[in-house]
Amino acid sequence: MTTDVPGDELEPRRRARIEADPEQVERGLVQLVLTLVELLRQLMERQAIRRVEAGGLEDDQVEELGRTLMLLDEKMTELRDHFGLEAEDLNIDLGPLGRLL
Amino acid sequence: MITLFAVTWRTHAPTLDKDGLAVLADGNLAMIVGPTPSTTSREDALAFGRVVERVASAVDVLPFRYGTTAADTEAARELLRENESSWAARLLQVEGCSELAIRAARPESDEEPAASGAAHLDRLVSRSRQLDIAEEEIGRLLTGRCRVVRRLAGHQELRLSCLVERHQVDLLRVLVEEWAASQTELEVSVTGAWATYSFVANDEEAG
Amino acid sequence: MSEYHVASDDIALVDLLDRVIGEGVVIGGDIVLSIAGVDLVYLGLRAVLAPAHVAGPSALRDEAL
Repeated sequence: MTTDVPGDELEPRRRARIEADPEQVERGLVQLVLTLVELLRQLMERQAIRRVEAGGLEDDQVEELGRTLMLLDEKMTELRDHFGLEAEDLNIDLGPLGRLL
Repeated sequence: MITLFAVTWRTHAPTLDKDGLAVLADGNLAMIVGPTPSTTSREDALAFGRVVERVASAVDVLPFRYGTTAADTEAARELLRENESSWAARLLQVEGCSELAIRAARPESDEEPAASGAAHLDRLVSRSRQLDIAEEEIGRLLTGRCRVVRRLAGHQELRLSCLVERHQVDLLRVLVEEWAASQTELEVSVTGAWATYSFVANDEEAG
Repeated sequence: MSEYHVASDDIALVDLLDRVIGEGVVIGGDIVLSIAGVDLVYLGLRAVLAPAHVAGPSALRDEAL
């Protein structure tokens, strides 16, 4: 059921809407949040690869970097499993930001 | 609200007589439009793509991104008018071409976590390098045989889009498939020919 | 001319989906998140959960937020 904004009678669908019922809201938000977290995780992973390839990192930095990335990877998998989401569910079109991935 | 599928030359505009599709013409261009379903879904996106591909099999098109809409046919015509010269220029850039999509990635595997942080990073770096090498090798096959190659964003995956003249498509596909057969660690796929989605976006929006 | 010569149908569908969702001409867009028909949040980015770009002049009212 749509609550029409006054004056909208002639153009009921001018805007693109993402309609969400209350039960879907949580799932939608979780998906959005995890997608953004995953985006950041992937960005960090790529940056780490670039930094290692560029050289100049101390051994202990490399070790800590790698261990943190491993942990993040593990945690993301756990979170996804917990919410019943597959990797493909966390796929968002970010327009120009998509270039970062 | 109507869905915008693609733009093509007015003189080449197809006759569309089913599924509620219509062709709006203005100046030198024509726009294929149709009804907008009330929900968005993968199936709807694929149906959208199939319409675009159907038109693209016969004429050069500028495909819209799925979900692009206009309030009504008048608004769509207005868009056509406003963008005529830039869209005509882009159509010329992809004239006679299709898009081949190449993907390469290591298959999913449940492997042991690395023994240390450094080993984990090492693994990441060597995998990234593996994809870069694949890009170079495929690039050599494509040189001189396709107009443009773009590497698309992808995580732990090589994704290449090639702007190929139609008469070169089959040859390129065979060359890449031969290369793929020689790969023991990467799974490779070549699909297409597609409409030239990856080569028509605005520069500032490309990606 | 544009044939579906593919390794498998599934792979082709993934690539087609990739293309229509990720590429193609974009004319900017507004997204409104709503619940039960009540508009709540305006996203000026092209970040979308389900791509649904509205082309043309912005359709938002001044009091949207």
